[in-house]
Amino acid sequence: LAALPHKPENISCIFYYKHNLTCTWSPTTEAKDTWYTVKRILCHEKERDMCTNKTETSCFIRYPNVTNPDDYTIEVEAKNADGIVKSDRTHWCLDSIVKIEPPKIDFVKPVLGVKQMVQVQWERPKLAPVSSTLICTLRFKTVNNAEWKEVNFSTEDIHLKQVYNLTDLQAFTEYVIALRCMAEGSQFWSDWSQEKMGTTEEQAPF
Amino acid sequence: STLPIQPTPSRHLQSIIKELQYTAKTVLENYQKEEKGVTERSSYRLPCLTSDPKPPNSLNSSAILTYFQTIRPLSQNQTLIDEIIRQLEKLCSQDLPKMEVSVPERSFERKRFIFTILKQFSNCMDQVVGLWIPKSS
Repeated sequence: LAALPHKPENISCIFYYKHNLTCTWSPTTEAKDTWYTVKRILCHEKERDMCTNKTETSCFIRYPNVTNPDDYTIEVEAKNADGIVKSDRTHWCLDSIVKIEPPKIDFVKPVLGVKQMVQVQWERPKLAPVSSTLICTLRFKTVNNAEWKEVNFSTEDIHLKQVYNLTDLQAFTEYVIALRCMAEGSQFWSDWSQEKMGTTEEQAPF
Repeated sequence: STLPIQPTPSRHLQSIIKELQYTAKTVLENYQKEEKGVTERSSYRLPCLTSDPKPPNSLNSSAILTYFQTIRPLSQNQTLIDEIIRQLEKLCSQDLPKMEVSVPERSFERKRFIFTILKQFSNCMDQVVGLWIPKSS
């Protein structure tokens, strides 16, 4: 009994800067042996194959064959002994699907003479494109409090070590702090950084 | 000669230029570490800007692309050179005539040639960033 493969759907792609572009699709299982070919068409229409003759429902293309900024049209073709079925064409702008790894907080320290502030030194993720502004969310809470508060900031600085001054805190109090970022225009946040503790300076006696 | 004020290029173009500037600096630094003692030679000239003020045409990307396609097989770190080539391809119009780039025969002179091209390209990208990318962005 002839049975064409299912039409590949739910194509999803993520771009890891200077690493690879990874795409997945469904269905993940087929009754018959099925091979997939992923076609990537670049914005200036030079057609380039991405993955050919694969049985898994995922594929990735390595850097430097993928460099941002760029826009791709991606189409997945499923083939078995009975015939070929093509997915719809999907369009991807790399800047909107870049996922960066979590930033790393080096330390959180009080600032001499400034009671209600701590200085957070953190590292810009290496997988963050140098051409992207980073949007970051810093969350903080006192150690015995369950509720997080958040502040947002952005940075165009591409240096590894960066500093953020967290203000309006309580004096002589220990805080837990975590940070996450995304490349501006992307739909993917990084994961949260590891949490770091820090204490504000003691209030001078009146 | 100073070029007239540039029209602000698209965000896409600005991103390509920022990526090229960063990678150019990385490739140059890597080459300086690998090939200590190699010096620049001013008689080798990499074309940088054209007289056309409007990005991306104001960058002589097709000539630069030819230089990088020529030095690619001669360099150890081809991944970064490949990235530069791919970024330059985005700036090139497809139908430009190919030019020839001749490479010195002798090994040390060849290294001087590569080092000079990488140095001039890094300087070129700093210049283009200064021209194309408004300070605030």
